[in-house]
Amino acid sequence: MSKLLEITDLQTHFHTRDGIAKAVDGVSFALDRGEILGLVGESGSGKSVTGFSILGLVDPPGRVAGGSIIFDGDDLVAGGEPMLRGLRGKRIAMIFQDPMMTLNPVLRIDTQMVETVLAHDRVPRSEALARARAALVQVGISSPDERLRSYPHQFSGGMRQRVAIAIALLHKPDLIIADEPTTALDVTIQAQILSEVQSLCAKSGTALIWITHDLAVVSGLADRLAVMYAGRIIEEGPTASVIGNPRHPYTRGLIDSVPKGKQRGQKLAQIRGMTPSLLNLPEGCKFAPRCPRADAACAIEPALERSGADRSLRCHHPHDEDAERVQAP
Amino acid sequence: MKTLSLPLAAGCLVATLAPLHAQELSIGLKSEATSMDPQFHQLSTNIQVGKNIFEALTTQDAVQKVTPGLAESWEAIDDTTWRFKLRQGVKFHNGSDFTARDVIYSFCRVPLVQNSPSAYTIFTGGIADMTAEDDHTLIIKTKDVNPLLPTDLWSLAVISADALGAEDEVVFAPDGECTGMGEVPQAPAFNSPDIAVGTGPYTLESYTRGSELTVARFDDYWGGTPEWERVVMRPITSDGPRVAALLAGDVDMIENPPIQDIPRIEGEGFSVVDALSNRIIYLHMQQLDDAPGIGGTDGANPLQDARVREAISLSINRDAIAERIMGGYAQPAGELLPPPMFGTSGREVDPYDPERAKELLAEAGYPDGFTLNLGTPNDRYINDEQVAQAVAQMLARVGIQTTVDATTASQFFSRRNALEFPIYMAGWGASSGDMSSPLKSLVATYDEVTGTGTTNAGRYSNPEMDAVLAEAMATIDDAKRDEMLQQAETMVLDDYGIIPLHYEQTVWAMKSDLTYEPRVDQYTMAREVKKAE
Amino acid sequence: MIVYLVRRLGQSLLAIMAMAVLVFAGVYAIGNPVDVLINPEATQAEIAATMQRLGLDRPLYEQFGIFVKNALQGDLGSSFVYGRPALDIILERLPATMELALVALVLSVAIGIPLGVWAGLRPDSIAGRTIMGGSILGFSLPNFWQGMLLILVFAVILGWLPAGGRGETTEFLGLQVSFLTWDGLTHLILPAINLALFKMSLIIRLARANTREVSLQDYVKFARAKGLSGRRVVMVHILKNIMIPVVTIIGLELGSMVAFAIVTETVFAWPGMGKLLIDSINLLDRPVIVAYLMLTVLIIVSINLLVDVIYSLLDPRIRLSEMKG
Repeated sequence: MSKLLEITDLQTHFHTRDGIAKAVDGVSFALDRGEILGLVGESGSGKSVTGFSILGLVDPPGRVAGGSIIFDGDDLVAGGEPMLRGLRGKRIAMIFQDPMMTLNPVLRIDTQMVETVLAHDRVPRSEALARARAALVQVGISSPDERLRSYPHQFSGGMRQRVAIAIALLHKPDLIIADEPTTALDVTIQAQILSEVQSLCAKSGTALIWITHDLAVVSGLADRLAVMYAGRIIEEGPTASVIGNPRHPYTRGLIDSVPKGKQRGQKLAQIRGMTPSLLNLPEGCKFAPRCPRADAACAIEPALERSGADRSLRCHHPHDEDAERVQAP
Repeated sequence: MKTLSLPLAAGCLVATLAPLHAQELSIGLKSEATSMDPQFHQLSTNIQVGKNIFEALTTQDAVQKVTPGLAESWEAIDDTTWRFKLRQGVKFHNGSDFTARDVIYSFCRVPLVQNSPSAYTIFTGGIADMTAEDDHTLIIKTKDVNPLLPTDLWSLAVISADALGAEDEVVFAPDGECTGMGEVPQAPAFNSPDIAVGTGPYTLESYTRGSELTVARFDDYWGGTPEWERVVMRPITSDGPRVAALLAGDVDMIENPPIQDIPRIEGEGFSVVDALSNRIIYLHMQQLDDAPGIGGTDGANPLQDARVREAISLSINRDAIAERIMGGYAQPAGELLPPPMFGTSGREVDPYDPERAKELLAEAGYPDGFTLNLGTPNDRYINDEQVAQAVAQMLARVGIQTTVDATTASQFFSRRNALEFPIYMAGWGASSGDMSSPLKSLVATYDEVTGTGTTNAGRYSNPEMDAVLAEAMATIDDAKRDEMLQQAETMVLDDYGIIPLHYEQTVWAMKSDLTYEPRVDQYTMAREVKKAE
Repeated sequence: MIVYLVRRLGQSLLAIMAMAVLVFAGVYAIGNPVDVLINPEATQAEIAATMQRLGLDRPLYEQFGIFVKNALQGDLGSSFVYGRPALDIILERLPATMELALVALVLSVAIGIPLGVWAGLRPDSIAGRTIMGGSILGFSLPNFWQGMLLILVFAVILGWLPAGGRGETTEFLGLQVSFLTWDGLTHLILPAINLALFKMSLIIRLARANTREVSLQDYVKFARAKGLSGRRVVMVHILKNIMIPVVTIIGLELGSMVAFAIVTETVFAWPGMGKLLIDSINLLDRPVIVAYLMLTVLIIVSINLLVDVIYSLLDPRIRLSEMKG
């Protein structure tokens, strides 16, 4: 079966006054229909920009500088703005991080939902309104008629995000790109949203790219994980095996630095050093300056190589493929 | 918004303008008339606009010579009695006939006008009685001898007794005690052509406040058919736009173009006329002991010494001022009115002699000069502040360090009348067209009882001159009076009681197919504008 | 809402009273009106009589007291110069000024907002930079000079438009207006442009700054992510958000435009209130000055109140918090 989304060597560069920042520098991955991919990385890793690049929403001074994005047979990089606009909201939908800022504060909810429907389907307004109402019900919002006539600031954070999800689902898209959608929410709401999204996607067979810095959040949700660092994917594979057996030193460091309940009183593990500035990247492996396993060989950039049936790695000195990993108590 | 294309619209504008010009005159005035009531406010704009609609018993021609108006002739029967023979066959705008009754009514109304900021009672206050011998003969008795009665009468407009609702019999009594007046309409009523009924060549057609005033031809005018079918008078107070209006063809004629613009106006093919006016620009000096604004004299007032005053006059280069600051539109003055007006002696202009000025100052005890504060308005007379600056520089050259204190007119007048300036520059236009006017107001001794020296803020006092002036004002005989006025003026000028600088020249600019006889009294009389031959 | 309105009205009355006191004191300090108005050849007796007639011989506080007493009955005094009620004289000229101000407002909004939004969406384009450069000229060139230049170019050199004055007027809703006739319009264009230029420049810069700011907001990106057309994104999402500060400025500026169209009215000989004010100041016609300034305060206060109401209509967040509070 052909892939729904196939990204090959995507380059998105920002032309700033101080030089060219390669926010996305050779990212490749693929997505099947209905698959959930977790795109993980610290801030500055290029994960959000990757998401925007797919829909052509990168703001100047950034632009997609190379590579290809094939969505269901169409090349999105080569395709023009009208084609992209036709896809946005209809076949590929996006959910952003802060729902207060993604919903226009001076427009009513129904306005913002109806316009999404009318942007792609020529239907009477009443029908668009009915679809909006149904979408609100679908995401679990009670008294939808009253909500439709309200303004965003009259909702709580979790409710607003549900509305954003509802908007994303209006046209039953094939793919949803969610950029840190729960980061701004309370922990309890987070869990709710997560589970709802999961069930909605399962029900409608929608593929999902969940962009986040929070491994814990995505580990229960995604089918596969891709870890990004300095604009590149450095490890990729099924969620269970990446979490259970992280082979790239960075991935391992990430997982180890998540506080676990039994670590009271003990020093938290960290990855030493800081993420490099995109304008000042080192030669060779970008993680080498912070890597405990780096040596002279790392002066040459490692390529993304397959490792086993379904994993990829970009490292000269990955951890071994152990069956069991000794977890800290 | 209409969608006429611009060239088409411009064409329409031009097309509609062309035939009208032949019969319609439009004038851009410098200021706005505040009322159509000719007896309300003595404002030059009100006067010059009103003269097209209303007339008086006498007329002043372009050189302010008193000539017959609605009165054909007159004579002084004795010192305080005059007989006026009124013109026959004159009609008012409403068709009624002009008779002595209208004159009596007009005079009676003046004291009854309310809220006037500058009342006409100064002309009627001296009239003791007025009776009509018949419909066209009027006897006027004055309280005191007033040789200027015919001149004063020019300022008193004759309005229609019928139009204002007077009774059939109007009997004069002084101080507003006339009978038979009916209900006297006040100034606001004159905005209606039904009330503003005069005998002049034009009738009031419409008066849009702030915008324009239109008068229309009165076909039955006694003086012959007036030149224009319609005259539109528009106030354009700002100088630049007024000139622009002329250049753009919006108006046919303007008054008071700025001197700097005259070459341009002539260059564009318009004609410019000018005349010497009755306005003298002068310097007045404080004669009181405790004059403010003087320094370096140990508290003494050097201006009390005639030698110092003479020195000041000699230090001023009047020719330079007239040439360079007034652009040639001023004439250096040797006396208070340009000759050959009534009462002038033809006195020579003081020479420019700074050396002699320094000698005089040394003689008077001020070899090193002193400091002085010169007051002047900055928006009242033509280039007033610049002239004052020039004077200050010239005084500095002979050792009198002068600072110029220039303020807006309203401030200037208030401060001057509060005697704040040791020396000030101002202007005076003799509305009577004769020498008694400046003498009486500017240099006669300040006296609240007799009403002399009202504008004598230097408090100059020359009792001998006062005596001669008083006698002249009681002399009906023109020749004798002329001589006495000359004598009085010479006394003042020999004593340097006032320093004349220059006479202003008044300028008008108009389309080249128009003519206007320029007037000494600076008025723009629409009725006098004619098509060029 | 009622409480709010009442409170605002109370503040307005205070402002008006303060204005009256200031003007009285101020004009008194400048000089004596009679010195300016009366024929210089009048005798001292006549001058004294005139002062008494105009009530100027009494002490200042007494004059003020009389003024307040009359004002409460709707009589703001009679002009020294015209001899008619000051309020009548001003109200006669109010329609002309309002017409000019409103047309200028419409011009500045209709031209300013689109240009500003355009410059905000494409700040680095030639058009965007030209617009911003032009706006600097618009508010830094002196109003008087701009006016003279307009007259010079369009009336004197090209001869397309008249050099000043108001055109034909017709009656509309009980007032004399000139924009309904072609002649009236030709007379209206230049002064309206002159008056509008400054505000237009302000609006351009404001609209541009706000458009830049709003364009970078997430909700704009989200709107685009939903697949909305560029036009809808600009006309609905961006525009509605920049309207709030723009409306505020427009409201403030309209008040000042009406009150102080003085320069434009003088340059173009437009028969409005502003010219009346200048002439009255020169002649020390105190009743007119006082009445004018009090009326101005009233107009500005009313406009600000209206702006507040519109504000709450435009931004739903404001409306609710107002009601709750």
